[in-house]
Amino acid sequence: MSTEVVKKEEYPKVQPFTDIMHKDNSYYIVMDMPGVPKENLNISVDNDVLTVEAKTDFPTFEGKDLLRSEFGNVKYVRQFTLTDAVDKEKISASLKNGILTLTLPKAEKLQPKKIEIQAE
Amino acid sequence: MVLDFNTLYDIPRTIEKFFDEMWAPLEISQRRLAYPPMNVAEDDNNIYVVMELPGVDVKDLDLTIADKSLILKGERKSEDAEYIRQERPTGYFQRIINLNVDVDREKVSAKMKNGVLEIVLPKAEEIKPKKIQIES
Repeated sequence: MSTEVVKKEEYPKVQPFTDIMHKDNSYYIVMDMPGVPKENLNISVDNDVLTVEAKTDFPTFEGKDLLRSEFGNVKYVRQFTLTDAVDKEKISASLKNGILTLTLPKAEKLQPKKIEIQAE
Repeated sequence: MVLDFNTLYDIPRTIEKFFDEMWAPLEISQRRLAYPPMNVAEDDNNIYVVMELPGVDVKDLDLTIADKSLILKGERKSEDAEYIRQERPTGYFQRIINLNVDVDREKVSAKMKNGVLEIVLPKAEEIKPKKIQIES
């Protein structure tokens, strides 16, 4: 039997805390992603499924004595199913202060349209 | 979830999602002890404190050093919008860290990057380990 310890390369998967909001003509998905640099973030839309994946890059304590550890590097993964109510071509994302904000504009055809009434 | 109307499609993902959601509460309870979560380390010269504070503006944070303890106060604000789902915590928080050693108050530094707060507290000169030369 091998006594060699297999080092796990993958970080544990965690679902980030997420808010979904509706304001004006867009939906917003806001996610807590502390410790994620822009280059570690991956967002994709495939078959109505929006996938967000990100790896954290927390400062390491190499050569120091760890006194307390309440969090570590993780891989944030979360998927959302989109409906036709969202314009998939116009989804935009911004990462600031460890918060990822996805803006999902409502589809044109679902936005309220005023119909002019012709008076005779 | 309100946006999720077509759950009948993509069965493998639906099954995977079911299991993911089953494990989710466990993960959260393991992660959240006190807010904000922190890591603390030390070496001969400094004490290092790292905290997860996503989306907290530096001006909403109040970091104070009292007698041998570090006090962090702050607020997480909510957005002015119609919430469909809300998981991210909001409100005031406070955390007190007992240092147990004297620190050089003037040289404490703190920086915020990617929602992570890093504080470096240099230990006071008097308590640093010092090698004593033995004369023969």
